Amino acid sequence: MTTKTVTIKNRAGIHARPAALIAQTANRFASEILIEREETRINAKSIMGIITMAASYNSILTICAEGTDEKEAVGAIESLFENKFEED
Amino acid sequence: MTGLDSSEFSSRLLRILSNIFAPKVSIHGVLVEVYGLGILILGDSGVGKSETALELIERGHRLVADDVVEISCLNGNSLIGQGANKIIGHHMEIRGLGIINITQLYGVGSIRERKEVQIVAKLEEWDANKVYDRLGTEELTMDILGVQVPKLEIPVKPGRNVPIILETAAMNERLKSMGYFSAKEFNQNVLKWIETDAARAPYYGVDDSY
Repeated sequence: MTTKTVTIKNRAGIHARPAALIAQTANRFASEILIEREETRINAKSIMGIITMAASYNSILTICAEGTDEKEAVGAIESLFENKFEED
Repeated sequence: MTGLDSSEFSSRLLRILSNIFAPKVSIHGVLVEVYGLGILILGDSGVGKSETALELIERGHRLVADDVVEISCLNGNSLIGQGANKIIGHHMEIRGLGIINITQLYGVGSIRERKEVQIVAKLEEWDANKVYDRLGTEELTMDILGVQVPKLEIPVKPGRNVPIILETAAMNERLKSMGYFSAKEFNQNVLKWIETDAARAPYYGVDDSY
């Protein structure tokens, strides 16, 4: 189990496009990947789930992955957050 | 101030509070209503949950929630499922199409806000080494918040029409609740038939095939 806490740095928060990016990235890995925001816990491979979190600017999320490629998966998703999803 | 009697008021208040503070869990899956029964479709990402639900909607059934289903356990015995978010609810993501709005595409008749989870259908990739239920006499259940829900394990492979299987499962479940259990009834009939045949054999011989 690998976990990592990230902060949303792009102004618009996680809307449809960043959500699609996260889901696409998560789907490349075999591990089970979950994203937690407060009490909600969603599957990172589902776009609608990620959008449902309604994660806005500066909110803090936790990425958890479990499986054979968990470290790579968490790293790849974390770098999306770090790069502000290639936005502003 | 309320005009209600204090006994009436407190019972309403308790009911509302127990609904609000009911145990909740959020599950990755799709909740649909098929012939009046709430079916929670589970399975790994990409196994075809959303496509199955879409086909069911097309066939006149209803979508409750896609992807994130929030389930709360009321009174310790009924599981009520609904979408996590009303604003973006009743949208679905279909690979190759993107995000679609079910309410706009199929009309308000094709959606509903909440529905009790009455069957769990777990879709899984066909595994040649796994033994799947062939008779339907065994009843599997899944534990959700302490409630045992009937569970079906449905192997998926190209050419298998999962929506029709789910429709049939819903009707079969309704039959069961009305007291008719197809698989058990069938077995009873087989047993009876064997008995009568075996009983007749000593008197008539076995060559009565004219």
